[in-house]
Amino acid sequence: MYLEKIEKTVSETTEFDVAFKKWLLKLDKIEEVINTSDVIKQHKFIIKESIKSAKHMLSDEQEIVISKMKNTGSSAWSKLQEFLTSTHTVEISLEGEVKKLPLPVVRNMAYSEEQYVRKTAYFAELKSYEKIENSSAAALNGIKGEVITLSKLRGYSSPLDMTLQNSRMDRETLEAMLEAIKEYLPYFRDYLKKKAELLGHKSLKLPFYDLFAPIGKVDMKFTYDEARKFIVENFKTFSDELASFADRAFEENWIDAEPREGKRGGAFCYNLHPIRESRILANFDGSFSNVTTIAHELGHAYHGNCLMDETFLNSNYPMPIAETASIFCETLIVDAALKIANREEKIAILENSLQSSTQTIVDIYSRFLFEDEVFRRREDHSLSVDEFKEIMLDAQRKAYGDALDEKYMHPYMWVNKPHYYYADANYYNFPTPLVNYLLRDLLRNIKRGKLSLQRNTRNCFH
Amino acid sequence: MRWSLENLYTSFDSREFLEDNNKVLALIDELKEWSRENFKSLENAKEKIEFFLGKINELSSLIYKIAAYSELSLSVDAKTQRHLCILKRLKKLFQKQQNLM
Ligand SMILES: [Zn+2]
Repeated sequence: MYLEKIEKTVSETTEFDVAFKKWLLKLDKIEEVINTSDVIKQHKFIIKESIKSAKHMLSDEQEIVISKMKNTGSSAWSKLQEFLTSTHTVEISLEGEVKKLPLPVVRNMAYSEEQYVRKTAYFAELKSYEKIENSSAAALNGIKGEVITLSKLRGYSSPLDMTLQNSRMDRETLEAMLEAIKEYLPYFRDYLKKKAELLGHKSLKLPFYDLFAPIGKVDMKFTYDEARKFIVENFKTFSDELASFADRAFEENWIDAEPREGKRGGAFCYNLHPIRESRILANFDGSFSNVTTIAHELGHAYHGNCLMDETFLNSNYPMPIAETASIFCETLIVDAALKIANREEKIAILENSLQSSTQTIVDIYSRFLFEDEVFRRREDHSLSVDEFKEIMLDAQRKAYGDALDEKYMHPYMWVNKPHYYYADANYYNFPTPLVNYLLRDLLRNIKRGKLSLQRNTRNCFH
Repeated sequence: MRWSLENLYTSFDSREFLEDNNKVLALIDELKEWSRENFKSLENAKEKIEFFLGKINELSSLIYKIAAYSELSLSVDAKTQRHLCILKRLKKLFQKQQNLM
């Protein structure tokens, strides 16, 4: 089998990859060298980034020991956590019947139209974590402890410092983002309080189990051809180039939209730089949310298209900008739908959008606070289950403020979010709010007619 | 409503697919040997960087193309156990490729 051979050989590329970076570090007149060659100048950014990362590399022997020890360290802990949560069942009693259900099924009940289902699921979920809380805490302590040890060994001032460098983000940018989030938290709280009121909570505080409760309903249905037309026409309001690009994706069969057996769920976009095209997988069922998904993925494809003239190495981009074009395109479609929707549909669409902004801004802020505090304490000691719970509650209090009902918070969010357990991706989602903010600002300015961005946006997505 | 992957490869058994696989193996061997030789000294830095960048662009683009074709094919037809096994290996392969440079 070819793949096995390739796989084995590809792992041997580490050798010359590391050798190159360490060699670059030894060149003292690198600026001069860069300026003598167009090819090198073109790759100036990644050359400099390679030099930066070489500064944090240890000796070959140390790196080998580390990667072997990680297999039995953080990787083993991650596997344990994955096993615990994927086999975890929740005992739940609905309509007089006691059932044992997988965790994702019970967590999905948060979207149920019936409050009693949402509430019952919430209590059952929390109760069920007692079975695995100690093991999860041990896993998290092990993983975060290793991250601290390694970031010190590599000469970073903190795990956050290491994360920022890997995401190509400056500390000032992060701080500005956190400031902006804090400034806007009151607006989110107003929304949550309104939602509490609509759902009949007299205290005007929303319990955690009602965060995802649906408000209003969207009945719009689309055939696949109608979806294509709707997307292309509305992309046109932004730019003809984007519209004809989307049309080409439909025309040339870049999209696999038909649900069928043996096909994976969800949606993704694969940018194919080597052939200057993209492919999109979706499972189209005619709902409005499906149309926005395809628009979202087309945004990724357009992003890829903007990078076709770059070399392969220069076409890579980090997490903070990965979602810009996609959210941008999705927002174009949501805005267009708002114009044709009836009152109830409008409320549903807007509430949906507020719901997801609350996740990407308020909740991610709470995750950031949680992770930061965990790292701070882990420097000193292994944390107990109670400490993890207390830190999580405190983070939720700081993020959601008085809009979340103190009696019904979620002290176990660190058990069910897998990203806390990835040793190589700390503070996993923190750039998302920034992207969200930048985009809304961009769209607002376009609407005000302040900017004519059609031409400039291509550069933006570079 | 289905995509076409023909612009990548026509099949796993196609000549192009096999040739690209062979190219990857050959390029990696070449680069291993070349880097052991050339990163010993700091001379001719400009030529060495240009050569290396060119080869890495070529190599990672090829690995990407192979991995993309395999992953896309399997994402719409992952029924058999054999496929699942390939999928796991691919994930690993892909991480390695993304870590290049
Ligand atoms: Zn996306």
